[in-house]
Amino acid sequence: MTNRENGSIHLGLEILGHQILTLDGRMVGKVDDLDIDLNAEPPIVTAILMGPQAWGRRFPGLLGRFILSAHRRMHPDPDPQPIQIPASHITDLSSAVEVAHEPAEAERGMGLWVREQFIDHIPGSRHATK
Amino acid sequence: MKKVLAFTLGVLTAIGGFVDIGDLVTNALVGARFGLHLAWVTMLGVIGICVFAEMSGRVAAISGRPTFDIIRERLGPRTGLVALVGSFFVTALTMTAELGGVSLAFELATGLNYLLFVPVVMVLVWVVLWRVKFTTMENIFGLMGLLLIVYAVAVWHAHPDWGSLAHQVRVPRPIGQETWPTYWYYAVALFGAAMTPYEVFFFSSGGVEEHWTRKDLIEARVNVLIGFPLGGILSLAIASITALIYLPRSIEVDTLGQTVLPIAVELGQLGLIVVLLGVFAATFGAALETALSAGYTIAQYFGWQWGKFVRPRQAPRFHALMIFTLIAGAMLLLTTVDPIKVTEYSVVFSALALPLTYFPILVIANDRTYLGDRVNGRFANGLGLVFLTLVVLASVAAIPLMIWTRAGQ
Repeated sequence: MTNRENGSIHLGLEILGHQILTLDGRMVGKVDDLDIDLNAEPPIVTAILMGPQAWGRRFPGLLGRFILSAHRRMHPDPDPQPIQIPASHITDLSSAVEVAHEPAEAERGMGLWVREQFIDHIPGSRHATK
Repeated sequence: MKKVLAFTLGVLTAIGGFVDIGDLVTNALVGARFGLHLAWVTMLGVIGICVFAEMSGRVAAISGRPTFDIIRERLGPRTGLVALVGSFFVTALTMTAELGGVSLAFELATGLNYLLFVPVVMVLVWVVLWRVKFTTMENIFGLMGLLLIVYAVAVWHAHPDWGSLAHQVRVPRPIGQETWPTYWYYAVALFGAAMTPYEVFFFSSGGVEEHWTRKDLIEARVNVLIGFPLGGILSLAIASITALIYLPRSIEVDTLGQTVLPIAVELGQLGLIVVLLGVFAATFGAALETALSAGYTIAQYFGWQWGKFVRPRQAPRFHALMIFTLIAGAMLLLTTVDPIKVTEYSVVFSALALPLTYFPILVIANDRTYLGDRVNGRFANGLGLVFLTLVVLASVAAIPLMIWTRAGQ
């Protein structure tokens, strides 16, 4: 999984906040947070967390609560959780975090809504530029 | 041979693309009020933008990560959000100024009120962003922007006293009625105009759009290190011609018409046509770059798909962001706010937002996990630190000077 010489990774600098890409180079989101199993010995990273519920939790105080509640109101699930990408799905770590496939929840998120409600109605949205 | 052509094209577009409405208006205004006594700031700003554009281009070519990816990653979500709000606001304001500039160029060419052209220009910019390939877009407007060389021709044609111009450059102080605070206020404005943050957002993201790799590093460097300084000479030519025509007559520049009038005086009707085409290309090209940058910054902060290298429906949020920013900018102009005033404020606010953009670039340019053996050498780091200090000073001084001088009055 890792391509570092000594095999160790600085989570804060080399994973957190980095771009998540799929194998074919599509941009999925950012590593907003990490799920760490502290009971394991040594503690292990079990999943990458992303999406508004993970991002919003990085803001303490009023702004964070606002982000989380605004997203909850727009979400069909009454108690939405951060999107999880299991650590086993990570295929490469470079300047970006490469994952095997885009999590289903991320595909169904706001991007899809903007595409279906807005961008797809404009002529030429399916064409590459000339 | 093909390689030489590609190099030449890159350098030419860098020159043509360097000047935007901010450089045009600020340099004309400063030339008319201070002569070339502030020319040192433009030269300093050009070196600064070279230093940081080179770093951001190198990071983009080797790691594939554009500037706002890096800002979010190194500043974290919270400070990163502050940087995002600031950068987006300044970039959108600059885009508004560019849209106004294009519309004013149409007004000068047709005699019809510029407000009529604002919606038209907005739609034209969007059509290019929606349909035209990145490289084609860059080449067309970059090359057309080269027409602004007419400013240098006009300076030469005016047979100035070169010794007196050189003397002005060497004596950095306010002249006539001008005071030190206004001198420093315009120094900050010129610095902001030369180092506008969108330039690095656009340059680094453009590198990713054009799929730069390690092999393209030399080309990217040549573009920056030759193209930008030559573009800076155009800025100085603009200041020189207004210094020659307006300064002796104590005329202040507060319209776009006044920035092109000296060309008509010196070179007649043909010169006027050329300069209007040049202003159109420079402002239209910059409107494209700033609209893209508005989309780049937000999409890169959140990790959304961005770029013109994919079909619009594959980057829906990126395209929606550009469309909304364009509409918002056009609506702001339709309130009949003076586009020249918008420009003046945009360059000062640029100066304010600079440190949050340039600090992470300098840090990442030293990070071996991103750049391997291509990290900054001592020279790049020395220059980077000097300019980071200057950028912080300009940022801290911007608002107090604006209040003190009542925005340069």
